[in-house]
Amino acid sequence: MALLERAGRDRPATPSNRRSLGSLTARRERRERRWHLGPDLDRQQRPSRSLLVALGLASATLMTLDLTADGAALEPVRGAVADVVGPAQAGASAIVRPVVGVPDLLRTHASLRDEVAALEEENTALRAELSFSSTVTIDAGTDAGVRPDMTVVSGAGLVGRVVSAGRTSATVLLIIDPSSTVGARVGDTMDMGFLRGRGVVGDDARLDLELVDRTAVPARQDSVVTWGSDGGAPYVAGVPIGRVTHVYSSLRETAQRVVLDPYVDFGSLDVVGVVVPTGTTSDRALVGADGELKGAGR
Amino acid sequence: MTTARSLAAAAAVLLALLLQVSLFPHVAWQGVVPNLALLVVVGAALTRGPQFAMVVGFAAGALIDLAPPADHVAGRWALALTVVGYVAGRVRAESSPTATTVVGTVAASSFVGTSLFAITGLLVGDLSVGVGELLLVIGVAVLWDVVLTPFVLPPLMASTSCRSSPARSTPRRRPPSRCATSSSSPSAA
Repeated sequence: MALLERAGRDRPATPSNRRSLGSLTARRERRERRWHLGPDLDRQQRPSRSLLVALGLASATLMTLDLTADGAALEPVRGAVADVVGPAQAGASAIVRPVVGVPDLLRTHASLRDEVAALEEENTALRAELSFSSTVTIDAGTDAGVRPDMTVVSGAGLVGRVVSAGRTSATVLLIIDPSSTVGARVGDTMDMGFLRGRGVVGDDARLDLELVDRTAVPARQDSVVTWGSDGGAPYVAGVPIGRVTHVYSSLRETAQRVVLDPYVDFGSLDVVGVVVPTGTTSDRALVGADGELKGAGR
Repeated sequence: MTTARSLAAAAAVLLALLLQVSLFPHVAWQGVVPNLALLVVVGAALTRGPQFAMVVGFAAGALIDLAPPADHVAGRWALALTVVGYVAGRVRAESSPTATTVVGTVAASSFVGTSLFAITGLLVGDLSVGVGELLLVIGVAVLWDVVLTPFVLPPLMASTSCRSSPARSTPRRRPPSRCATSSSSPSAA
């Protein structure tokens, strides 16, 4: 606007020039009028500092209230405001949704199909990552004599332990779960250590063994078995777990990491057994210590 | 400050809040939505002066702080918008509102308000973003508010200054000053 005025001053006021200038000024006035509210109103109204201070302090009080005791003092207020404003917000959203949804209506089948394909692909990839959890459920529970902290084995070796048992089902924590720790010893040297899972399943499933004696170096292909606890809980002794594949030693950590390849393929678990005390009554087939099959098996 | 005008301001604030939480998230740019409530406060300041604007600002801020989607410490927007009302009201006292000053006021108010909100966030430990990101957000917020000004402020200012006017029945002999006559009568402090 200042530019405009200067242009008007600098130029000699020829009639045509003046006319265009006049129309420009008129347009400008029209524009100003839309914003302008006439002569200054309330010019005598002094901005009240005390009001500013009061409202500022009120805001500070709000902040303090919200910061102390986790905002417990403001919870009822928030709830009340939510009760009042919430329905209006829901209504506004309901009105807005079809409007902002218009672009979606205009999309072609082809683009939708493409998107479905892309999403399905992504879904499959995510499913592959998630398809395995580190616990499994077995279909035998307390009726079959299964109790928590019992050892679960398969034909190949140690599977895990029972963490909870219902009447007809039980949950088994697999030894490859990161939260699982198994007391283990290296079969040949009897060195003891602790075995932890990595949460990885499939061909990459590995277990980490931390030996108590840090100078002991197990040989490759040494087999590792459970050392077992008193009363056989949670693991009975001597169950094969896996064999040693790598030994990493780190000077910095003054420790060595033994990596195990588990005998059990956790990606394709099928029939597993739960080690129960002798003399347990069960609705399932029981295999005795001598290999004798008792009861109605399946 | 008549009851009717307060009601109009309350309605404007409520409408601003509703639009802000329902419509604007769909048009958010860089995750920043335009601050309609701030525009309402600036409009109130430009038409009614700082006193009224500070009260409107505090009320609107408290509403934003307490209404459902809010997850920040309450009182931050209340403080920011109170100060915005004061600052914008001072600007109005200095100069009569023209297009340029209104846009300038909105830009300044938006900057002050958003910055104040951010600073209080830093002070109460409510905020965990870097300064660079903060400046970006403030810049986008100022841009949004300035862009929305031509669409929001003229009707807003017309409504807060003309509505509930005792002079509504005055003959329309001087159209430009119609609003002014209505609003100059009450509420001088």
